[in-house]
Amino acid sequence: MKMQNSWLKVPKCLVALLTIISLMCSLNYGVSAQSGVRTITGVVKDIRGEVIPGASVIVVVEKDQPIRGTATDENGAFKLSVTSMDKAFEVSFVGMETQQVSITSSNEYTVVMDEDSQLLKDVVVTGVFERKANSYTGAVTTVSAEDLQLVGNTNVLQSLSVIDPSFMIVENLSAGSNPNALPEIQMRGQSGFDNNEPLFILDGFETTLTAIMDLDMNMVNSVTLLKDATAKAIYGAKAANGVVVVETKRPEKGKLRVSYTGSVDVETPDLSSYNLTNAEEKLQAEKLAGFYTSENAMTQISLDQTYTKMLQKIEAGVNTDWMAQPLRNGVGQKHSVYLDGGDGATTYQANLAYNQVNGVMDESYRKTINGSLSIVYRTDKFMFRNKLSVDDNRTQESPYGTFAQYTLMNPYNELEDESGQMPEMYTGIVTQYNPLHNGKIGSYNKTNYTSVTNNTYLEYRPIEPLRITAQFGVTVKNSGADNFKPAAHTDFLSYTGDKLYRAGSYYDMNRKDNSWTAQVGVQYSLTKDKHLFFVNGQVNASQTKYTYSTMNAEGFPNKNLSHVSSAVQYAENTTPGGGEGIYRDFGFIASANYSFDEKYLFDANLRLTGSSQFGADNRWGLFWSLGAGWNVHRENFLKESTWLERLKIRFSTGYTGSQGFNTYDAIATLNYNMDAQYNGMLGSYVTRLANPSLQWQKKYDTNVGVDFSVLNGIVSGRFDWYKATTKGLTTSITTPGSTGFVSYVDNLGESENKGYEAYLNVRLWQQPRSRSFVSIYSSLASNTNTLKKIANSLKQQNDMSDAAMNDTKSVNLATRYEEGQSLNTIWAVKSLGIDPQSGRELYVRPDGSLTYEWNAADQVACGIDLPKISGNFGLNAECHGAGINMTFTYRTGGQMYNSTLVSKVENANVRYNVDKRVLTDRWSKPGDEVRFKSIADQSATQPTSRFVEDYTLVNFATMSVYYDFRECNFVKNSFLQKLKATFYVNDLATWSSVKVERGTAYPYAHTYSFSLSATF
Amino acid sequence: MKLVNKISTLAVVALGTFALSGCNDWFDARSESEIYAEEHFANQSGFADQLTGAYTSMISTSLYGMNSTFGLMEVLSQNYDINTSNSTYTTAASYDYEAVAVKSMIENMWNKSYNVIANLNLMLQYIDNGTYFDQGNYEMYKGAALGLRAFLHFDLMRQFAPMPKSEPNTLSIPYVKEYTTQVTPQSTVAENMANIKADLKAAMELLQVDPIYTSTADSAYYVRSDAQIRFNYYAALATLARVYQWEGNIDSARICAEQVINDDKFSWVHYTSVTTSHAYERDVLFSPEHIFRLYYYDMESAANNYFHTYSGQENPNLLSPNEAKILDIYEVNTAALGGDYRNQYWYIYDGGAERCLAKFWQPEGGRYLNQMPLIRKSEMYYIAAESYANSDPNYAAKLLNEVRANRGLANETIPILDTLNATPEYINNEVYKEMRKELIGEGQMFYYYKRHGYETIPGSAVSAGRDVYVFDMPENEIEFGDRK
Repeated sequence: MKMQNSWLKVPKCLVALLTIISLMCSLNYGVSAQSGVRTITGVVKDIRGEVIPGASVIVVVEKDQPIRGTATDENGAFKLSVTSMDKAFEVSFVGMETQQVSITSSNEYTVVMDEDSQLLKDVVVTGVFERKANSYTGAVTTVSAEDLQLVGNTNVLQSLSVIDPSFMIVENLSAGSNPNALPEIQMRGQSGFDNNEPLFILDGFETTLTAIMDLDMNMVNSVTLLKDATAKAIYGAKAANGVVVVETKRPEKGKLRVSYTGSVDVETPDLSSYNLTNAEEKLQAEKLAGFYTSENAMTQISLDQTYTKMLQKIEAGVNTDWMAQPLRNGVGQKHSVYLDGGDGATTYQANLAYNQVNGVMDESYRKTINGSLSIVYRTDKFMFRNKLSVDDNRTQESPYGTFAQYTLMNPYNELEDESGQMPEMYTGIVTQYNPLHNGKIGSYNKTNYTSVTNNTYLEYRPIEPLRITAQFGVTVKNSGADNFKPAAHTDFLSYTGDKLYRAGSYYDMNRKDNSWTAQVGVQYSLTKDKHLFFVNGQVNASQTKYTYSTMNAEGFPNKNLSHVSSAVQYAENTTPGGGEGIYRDFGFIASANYSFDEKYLFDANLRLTGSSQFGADNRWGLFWSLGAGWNVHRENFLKESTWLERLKIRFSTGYTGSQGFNTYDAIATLNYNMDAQYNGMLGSYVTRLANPSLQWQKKYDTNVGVDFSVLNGIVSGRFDWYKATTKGLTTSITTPGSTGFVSYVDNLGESENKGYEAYLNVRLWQQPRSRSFVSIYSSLASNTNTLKKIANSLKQQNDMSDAAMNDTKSVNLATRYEEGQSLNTIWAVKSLGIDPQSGRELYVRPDGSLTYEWNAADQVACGIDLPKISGNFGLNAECHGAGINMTFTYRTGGQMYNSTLVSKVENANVRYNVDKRVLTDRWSKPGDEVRFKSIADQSATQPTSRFVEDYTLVNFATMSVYYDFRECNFVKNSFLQKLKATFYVNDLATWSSVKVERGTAYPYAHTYSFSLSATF
Repeated sequence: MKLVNKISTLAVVALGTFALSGCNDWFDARSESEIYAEEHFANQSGFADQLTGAYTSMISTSLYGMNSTFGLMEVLSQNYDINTSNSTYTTAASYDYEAVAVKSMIENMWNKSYNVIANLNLMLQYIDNGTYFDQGNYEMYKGAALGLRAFLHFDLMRQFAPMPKSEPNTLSIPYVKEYTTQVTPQSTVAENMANIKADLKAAMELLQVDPIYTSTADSAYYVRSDAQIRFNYYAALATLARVYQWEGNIDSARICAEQVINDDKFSWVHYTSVTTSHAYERDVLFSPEHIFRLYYYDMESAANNYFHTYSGQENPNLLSPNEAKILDIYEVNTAALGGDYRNQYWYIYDGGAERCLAKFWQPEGGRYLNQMPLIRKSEMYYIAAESYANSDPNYAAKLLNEVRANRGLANETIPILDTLNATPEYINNEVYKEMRKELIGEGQMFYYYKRHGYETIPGSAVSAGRDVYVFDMPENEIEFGDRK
C-alpha cells in the first residue's frame, strides 16, 4: 500500500479537540469511568506491512454516547484513551475494510487492514462460484441493490436497462407501458433470427424472464451481467446471449431485524406522441377527401344536409376525446416486509411482498405476492442453507380492448346521446362500434400462476482451501389463462340467424411446469508466495417437464354464465389442444485461475453439456474460454504513482452455445392420423424430417477490456471492445419434395456481432464521514450485426415474401435476410418523394431508372432498426442523507420506419380519425410540394424510403429524490435503525427525432412513486 | 497436501464416474404427445400402423383419393365432358400444366407420393433391428413396404418420366430409399425401372407367406377381402406386369399377367350382384376382381362433390362423359352393345337430362362402399391379350371374350369377338375399346396413350408430344435438388 495522503484529511486539531471533549465527557460520567481509564497505543498497517496514516480509530460506544476517537499519524501510530467499559475500537480507512478490534488487557495493538474497494465490487458473483474482481479477466457489470433502487423501483429489468446500455429492452411501440407485456431483452445485440434472450440465473438456478420481472426488488442483493467468453463459458450451451445472475439477500446474524418498504405508485398516461384531429378538423378533412360531394344532385343535397348537421353538432360543442376514455391514472402499491436475524450458528430470513401494478388502461393490472423463508446453519466447517419461496401472480388485461381502436373513433361522436345512454354504434360516413361497450359487459382476460421453489445448498470445508458444495433446487409452477367474451361483445356482431347461439367465447389454458436441478462441486484455492491458484469443478444435472392443455368454447348468451362449462360447444372446427415435453441436461464445468502477484492473471473455463434435445449424433457440446489479464497498476513503475489506483487490461476468447430450435427437430417422432381411418384402424406417420446432426448454435466471442481508476478514485471506468461470430445459426432449410417434406432445420448461416462499451464515473466531491458525495456518470454501448452467410432457403423466402407483397399490397415491412446486411435492416424502395405535378410517388429502381410503380423486387437496404450508439448519462448526489439521482438514456445512429405516417396520414382511411397532418401535408393540386400523397389517393403505400427517418431518442428515464433520516435525532434515538423516503419519477420526458405514435396497443405512461423504507 | 491430493483425486474420479455411467439413458426423456421412432418400431404393431398410415396418405385427394384416379389423371384421359365453369379442370384438359391450379395439383402428386415413400423408408430402416414379429408378420410388413415403394415410384415414372424405350438414359426421378435430409440424386429412366423391378421382386419373395398366395383358388375367398386392401402378393405381381409392359417387354409382362390369371384367386363378379335392382346391394365396382384397392373413408364426400347433379340443378364440378360419349364408348349403337353392365349400371340419371357417371356413388346402407380400385383382374387380361396380339391374336380374342362374358356381353345374345380371324390390328383396337369401357374414371387411359405414343389423345385437339406426356418436376425440386 503506498504512502499517500488521503485527501480526506481529518484536521488533526479537530481530532485533538474531539479527544479532549470526549475525555472530559468521560470524566463527567463519574468515578468509575475515571478509575478505568488508560491509554492504549497501536499501529495500523495493511496486509503488506505498510503503515496507514490518517486511519480513524474510534471507540465503539452506545449510540447516545459522544464519539471518542483519534487518527493515526505518519507512522500509522495512534494513542487512544479507553475506559474499562469500552469493549472494542473500530479502525477505518477509505478503501479498506473497517475492522473492529476487541480491547483486551493489553496496551499495545497492531491492526492489519485489508483492501476493500467498495465491498460488493470486490467479488464477482458468477452464480457458480464467486471470484475476486481483482483477478478476474471477464467482462462483467456488477450492480448492487442500492444501484438498482436508485434508478427505479419498478422491477429489476427496468433498472438494469437504465444502468447498463448493453442490457437493452427492445423498444415495443405497441405494448407501451402494459404491465403484463413481457419485455424482449438483448445483451450485446442480436446474433440470431430469434431467441436472443439471455440466460437468467436466480440464486444459482436457471429461471425464467417472468420470474425476474416479478421478483421483489427489495430481496435482491446484487445483479451481475456476464458478457464475454470468460464470464459466460461456465454456462456453456445456453450462454451465447449473455447471462444475468441475480443473487438475493442472505440473512445476517444479529438481533431480529425487521425491514419494511412500501410505496404508492401512480402511472399517468403519456399521449404526447399523438396528434389526432379534433371534431372540427376531422370534418374538414372529410370534406377535403370528398366525402361530402357527389355528382348526383339528389345525393349532393342529402350530403349537404348531413354536413350541416355535423357542423351544428360541432358548434354545439361535441368534441369527444376518445383517447382519454379507456384510460385512468393507475394507482398501485407495493409492500415488502423482510425479517432476518439469528445467533452465531443459525440465521434465518423471511420475506413477504405484495405488488399491485395498475396500468393506465382501465382495469388492467398485475398483482404479485412473493414470500420466502430461508434458514442458514453454519459451523466453522459446514454450512447448510435452505430457501423456500412461493410466488403468486394474477394479471388482467383491460376489457376495453386495444388502445388503437380509440384513436380511430371520430371526435364528433358524442359519448352520451340525448337520453344519457352510451351509444353502442355510430353511423355516418362510416359505421363505428363503440369500443367502450366491450368494457362494460363483463368480459375478462386473465392469467395467473403460482410457483413454489425450494433451493438447498450445502457446503463443507474440510480444510480451509478446499470447499465441497452441493445444491439441489426444485420448482413447481401451475399457470392458467382465461379469456371470456360474452355474446354482447363486438366480436360476435356477425353472428346472426342460425349462428346466434354460437355467440360468446371462452379460451381456457392450464399448464404445469416442474423442474429440478442438482449440482455438486469442488473448489480449491492455493496461495504460495505470490502465486494464487484457484480451481473449481462441478457436475450438474437438470430436468424440465411441462404439460398444458387449451380449449376454445363458444356459445355464452349471458355474461353471468361465464364458467367454461356453460358453453354450448367447442368452438367450431376446434378440438382440445395442448402439448407437453420433457428435457434433460447433464454437464461438467471446470475452471482454473492463476494469478501471479495479483499482476498477471489467467483464466480458463471448460464446460461439457449433453442434452436430450439433441439427436444422438451430437448430444454433447464442449464450450471453453481463455482469459488473460494484466493489473498494470501493480507494476513497479506504476506502483508509486499518485494519480493511478487501478489499470487493468484484460482479454478473453472462447465459445458458448445457444439453442435455436424446437425440442424435437433433431429427432424423428411419429403421430397418429386422427381424422381418417383405414378400415377401422388408425395409421401412424412421421411428423417431420428430423436432422440428427442438429446442434447448438456456436458463438465465438473475443473481448478486450480496460478497467481503470485514477485520481484517487475520482475518475473510474471501463472500456470493452468485442467481436462475436455466431456459426451454425439454426434455420429452416427448404428441401426438394423428394425428401418427403418441404423443410427441415439445420445449422447453416453465420452472423457477426461487433461493438464496444464504455462506462465512466466521475466523483466530483466526497465527504465520507457524512457519506456525502456528488458524482456524474455516463456510459455508452454500440453494436452492429451482420449476416455473413445464410441458407439458400432464406433467399427463397425473400423471393416469396416479395411476391406476396406485390400480390397483397401489404404495407408492412418485409422480413428479408441478405448476406452482408444486418438482421435489422429496413427494406424499402428508394423514393424521390411526391411528384408535385401528379401527387404520385416517384421511385428509383436499383438500376437508377425512375418509375411510379412500386415493386417489391426494387427494395434496397434503407436503414437499420437498431441504434448505432445507445447509452445513458446522469448525476448522483447525496449530502447528509438527502440525495438525488437523474438519469437520461439515449439512442442515436439508427433509423425507424415511421409507420404512423403511413397508417395515420398517408394511407389513413379518412372515414376514421386521423393525424392532423392529413389536413396540411397532403397533396391537393399540381404544384404542391408536400410530403404526402394526394388526399384522394386511396392506394396502399408500401415500404418506401420516404418514411425511413433517422431515429434519435433522449429519454429522461429516472429522477429520484430521497432522504435518509439517519442523521435525524428521532431516528437515532428510536428503535429505528434506518428510515428512508424516496420519490421516483420515471419517463418524465422524451425527445424523439421521429414523430411516431408511441403506445399503440397500450399507451406509454409517466410513473410517479413515493416509497418509504424502514428497518427496526 | 496428501489429504488434499486424496480429496481431489476422489473428486475427479467421482466426476469421471458420473460421465461414464449410463449417461445416454438419461437423455432418453420421453414425451407423451409424440412417439420416438425407436419406441414406435420396437413393437410389431408400430409397423402395421405405419403401413396403415401409408395407405391413409395414399387415399388423400392429392393422390388416389382423387387426382391420381378420377381427378386430374382422368381429365387428362379426355373421358369427361367438363363444365366450362370448372376452370381448373378445363385448363387441365387443354394440357396447360403451367396454369397455377394445375401446376399445384401436379406438385402435390409429387410431394405427397414422396412423403409416403419417406414414411415407408423410415419403417424399413427399423424393420431389421430385431423387433419381435409373430409368425409371418415380418415378411408381410416388409414385403408390403417394399412393394408400395415400388408402386409409388412407378406411378411417378409414368407421370414425370419419358418412356423407357425412347429415352432410357435420360435423367428422371430420384429413387429414394432412405429417410434422410440428404437429397437423393436423379436416376436414369432405365435405372429407375431396374430399381422398381428389384423392389417388386424382393416384395414378392417376402410375400410368399401371404395367405392369398398360399391359399388355393377355392379357399382364396376367405382371405381375399383382407388381402385386397393391402399390397398383397398379387398386387406386386400385377404391378410387375404393368412395369414390364411399360418397358415394352411383352413376354415378361405376359408371364406375370398369366400367373395372376391362372392362380385364379380373384373370381369374376357374380352377375346377380350386378343386375340386382337394389342399388344398395349392387356390386358396381366388381369388388372380388380387385387385386389391390384402397379403403376410402370419405368417399361419400367425393361422390357428392363430383358425381351427383343435385336433382337436376347443374353441378359445375360434375365429372362425367356426356350421353353421346357414353354411347360412343360402349358401342351402344354402333355394335348394339348396350347390354354391357357397365353401360347399364355405371351411368344413371340423377335428375338431369343426361345420365352421369355413377360408378363411385355411395348409396345409403350400401354393401360395397368405400372402395377405390387401383389394380383390376380385367387389366391382367388386357395385358395378356395385348401381348398375344401379334403372336396369337385368336387366343387374345378368347381372353377378351372371357372379360366381356362377365360384363353382360355373353355369347348367346350379343356379338362376340371373332376368335378365328383375328388380326393384330383388330386385337389392339379391341383392347383399346375394352380398356376404355372398363377403366373409365380410374385415370389409367392417359398412360395407355402415352405408352402407345398417340400423337393426339382422342377427345382433344392438342398435339400430344413430350410436353403433354411428361410432367415437369416441381420448381422446389429443380432448384433445391439441383435437378437437370
